[in-house]
Amino acid sequence: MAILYNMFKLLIIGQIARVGYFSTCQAIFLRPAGRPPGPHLWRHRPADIATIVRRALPCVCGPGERSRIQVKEKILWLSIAICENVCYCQTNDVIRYWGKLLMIKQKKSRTVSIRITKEHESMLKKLQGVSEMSQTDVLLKGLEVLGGYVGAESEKASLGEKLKELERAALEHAEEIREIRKKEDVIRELVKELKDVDRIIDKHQCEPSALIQILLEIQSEKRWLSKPTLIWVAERLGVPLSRVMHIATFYKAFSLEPHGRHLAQVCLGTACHVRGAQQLLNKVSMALGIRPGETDSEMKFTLKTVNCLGCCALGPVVMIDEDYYSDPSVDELKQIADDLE
Amino acid sequence: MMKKLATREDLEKLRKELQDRSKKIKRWVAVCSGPGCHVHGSGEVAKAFMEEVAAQGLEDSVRVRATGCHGFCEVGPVAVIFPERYCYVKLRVEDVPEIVGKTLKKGQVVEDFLFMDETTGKRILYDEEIPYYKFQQRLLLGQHLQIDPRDVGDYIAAGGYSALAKALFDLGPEGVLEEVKAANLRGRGGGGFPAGIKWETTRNAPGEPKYVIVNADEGDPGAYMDRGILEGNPHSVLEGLIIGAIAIGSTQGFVYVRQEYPIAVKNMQRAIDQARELGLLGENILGSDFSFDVKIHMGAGAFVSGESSALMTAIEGRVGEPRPKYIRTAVKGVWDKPSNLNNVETWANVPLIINNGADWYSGIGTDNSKGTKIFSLVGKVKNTGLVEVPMGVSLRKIIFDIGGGIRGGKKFKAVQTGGPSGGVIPDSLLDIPVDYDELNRVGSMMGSGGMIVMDEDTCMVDVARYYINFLSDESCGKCVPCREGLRQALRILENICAGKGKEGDIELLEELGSFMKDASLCALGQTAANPVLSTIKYFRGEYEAHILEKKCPAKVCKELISFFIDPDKCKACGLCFKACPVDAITGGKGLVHIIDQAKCIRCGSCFSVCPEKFSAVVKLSGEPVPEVTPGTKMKKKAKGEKKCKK
Repeated sequence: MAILYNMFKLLIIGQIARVGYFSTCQAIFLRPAGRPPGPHLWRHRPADIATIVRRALPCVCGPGERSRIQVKEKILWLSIAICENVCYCQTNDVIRYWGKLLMIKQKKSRTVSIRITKEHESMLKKLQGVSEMSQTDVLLKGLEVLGGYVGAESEKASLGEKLKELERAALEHAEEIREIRKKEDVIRELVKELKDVDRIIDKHQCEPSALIQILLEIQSEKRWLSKPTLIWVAERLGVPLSRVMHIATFYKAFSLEPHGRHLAQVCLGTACHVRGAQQLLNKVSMALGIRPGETDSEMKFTLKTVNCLGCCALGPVVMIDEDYYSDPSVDELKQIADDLE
Repeated sequence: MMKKLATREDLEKLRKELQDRSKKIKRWVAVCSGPGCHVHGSGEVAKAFMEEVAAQGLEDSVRVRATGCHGFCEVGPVAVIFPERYCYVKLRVEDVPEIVGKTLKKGQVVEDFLFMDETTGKRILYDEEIPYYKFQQRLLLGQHLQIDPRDVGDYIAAGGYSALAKALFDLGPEGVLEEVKAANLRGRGGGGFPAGIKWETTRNAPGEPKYVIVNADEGDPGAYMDRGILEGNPHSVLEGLIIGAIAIGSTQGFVYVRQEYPIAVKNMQRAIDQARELGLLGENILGSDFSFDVKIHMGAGAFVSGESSALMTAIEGRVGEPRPKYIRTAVKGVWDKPSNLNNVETWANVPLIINNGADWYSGIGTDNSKGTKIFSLVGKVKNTGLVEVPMGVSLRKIIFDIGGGIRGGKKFKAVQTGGPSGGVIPDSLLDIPVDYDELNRVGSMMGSGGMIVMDEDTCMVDVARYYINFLSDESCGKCVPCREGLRQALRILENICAGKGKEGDIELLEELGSFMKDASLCALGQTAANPVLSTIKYFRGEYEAHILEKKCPAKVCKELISFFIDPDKCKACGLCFKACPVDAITGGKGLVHIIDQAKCIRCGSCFSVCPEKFSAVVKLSGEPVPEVTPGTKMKKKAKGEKKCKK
């Protein structure tokens, strides 16, 4: 066993870069070199992770910095990804919400990266095979050894240089993976969206004559028609995309931009017009802070004008979501807007 | 879950059962849930009725129905209590317990909620004696009071689907066709084409299958009759459609509803599902060898899609643009098959004709226009709402007797009928009888039934500009006369409204109009000039005032008016000062407020906030704004008023 430990020591010494985060680590993420990115998850028990993190700390920070990092109580999972020979520790947040990544980075949180060459990898495998230990245990042992090594402050100068180099390489790699993840997220979103679209198309038995009905349903569910949606609908129904676009741009009900969560429609029908629809439109515009056809920056409201809502006896009328209001004042409108989420 | 009706006798048995069941109910209340009353909160009122009836333990003897539009939207929410027909108006949730306790339980009237006739100052007990209803003949709208639109049982108990049985087993296709032709039912969508002849054309046209379609793409701004019927009594439309299908020999029907009417879509869909469940739709209806089914198709918001050929292309799943009609849609419509399209109201009239016979029906109305017509009476009239009158009633009667005249004691100026394809009718022609031919003669049209009343504060040039703006927006752009003609006409009208009109503009508009009439592809373009031509015909003086004197007599056109605070009337209350969005008003405590004309954007905020008793803010047009020196003290109050001061 002693031989094994020493081998592992050689393997990892100087191969730890300081890059990322230690906030709430979750799953262990393993990807052997050359394999496409994907969820090869390797999970650990919470207790093990806490130990890994605690033991890894000295080698990550160096002896002087040790006290500056605290292991948070909440750590449930440690995430280590071995991608293209770089092993990353990451948080669950990063895996699930790409958008949070930048935020975490700005907060200067940290992660552990271990660079493993092909040679090392095979060694690691050998280690496992010989010792019959789980990968966690191997890593734990290795880190333990390493911690002792760094703690003794030997070879610190050369270690620093190597660390810098490795850090750069790891950062580059992290960037690449980030790009891949971003694409993956986009694709995942897209797949979800198109699955919803598929459900609607199937409901109409894939009938080309139901094109307008399908688009109407998508519009009411998604609040807009995105480009992939339009292409997908054309593809599924076997209708030229030009015709789908013709319909999407011809009818007033469709929007090629995302709508807000709520829709305010001011009626400009004749009956409302002679009773002052234009003034009402100005009031609504003032209360919501947007002009007709616009959506506010928080995606809360979209303001539209319509030609007749069929409430002519009560003009001028504004319809907010499902409710009609007969000539409300600016204050009333503001109140209505505030009451909505 | 209702049992499928396999024979005509099953239907009658079910009807008998339903009627027997309703005999146990001593009283019922019909709470209007039409679009007008809904905005006034009738949903809560109906709910309160149901809860209160349950709370007072009257569930067995009293029934609450949330019905379709009764018509009198102005005084909503309205509730009518049967069998007495007491009519309560402007109800609030708080009023409900008293009504349930007194009227529904004991039959006592609660005076406070009755309709008050302003001219006599008396309260009116029964709905049919209210002047608004008294002069109407509510063949279609009257049914709404008896029926919960969500309950097919109500419709059947009220005699529903008996016309269908009669058409299937007694009359047969030829008989139905003869009956409808003899009744001379004309299309209620605007054109007024005899429905019987159209049906016959489709019936005789080669090609199978044949289609029947309900046009509920009510795009005319200012009209909501179809919405009223579809929401209030969808089964009547459905029954009419099935009868039409029998006569024509169709197996598939469509209902084309605009998506702006979600409740109409919902109620219609429910009606179709219920009818299917009862075997009134589907294979072998009522045990006959006739099969028929209906699909709903939603419109996506395009005015031109209400045109027959455009509507049919939309049903095919393509863009709803019209095509040249060398061959009519009755012969080649949806997927080039014979297709018969009729308006909601036309279909709803069919069961009446079949049930009561053509002789009865043709006894109502004028020589060439039979039956009743629903109008949406809106605009500056006192009583707004849906009005159903026999053809041939004069406009004056509709606007003054039923509508109660103009609001706010203003003077009547004109009434606009027929939507964007129609025209305006001035004071001098108010006595013409309302039927298809008379309205066409005076340069307007029946249209689908929008009737927008305008008073002296409405600028006719602005109205023409409004319609042309609407139409140029809605023109599909397929044919040049409509697309370009409207664009040019709009530019000229906008110039006139902005005070940049030139001499010769009126003649140019007339020329453009006649050109569009001759050369456009579909009815939208052919009739698009009507609003302009009819306003020029009857209100040429107003156009000339805009062009020559740069004055808007009705004080509407923004660029031609200015707001002015009368220093003699201003009480320095500061309301306008606060309301002005651009800080154009200066003034102070005890000082007359003054509008800086250079800053003023003419939004009218000051005009609307100035208290009526002061009326210090006035609109001026065509005259210079008088100078007022800043710092002028406001006029002292009269001695008696001083005491009020703290």
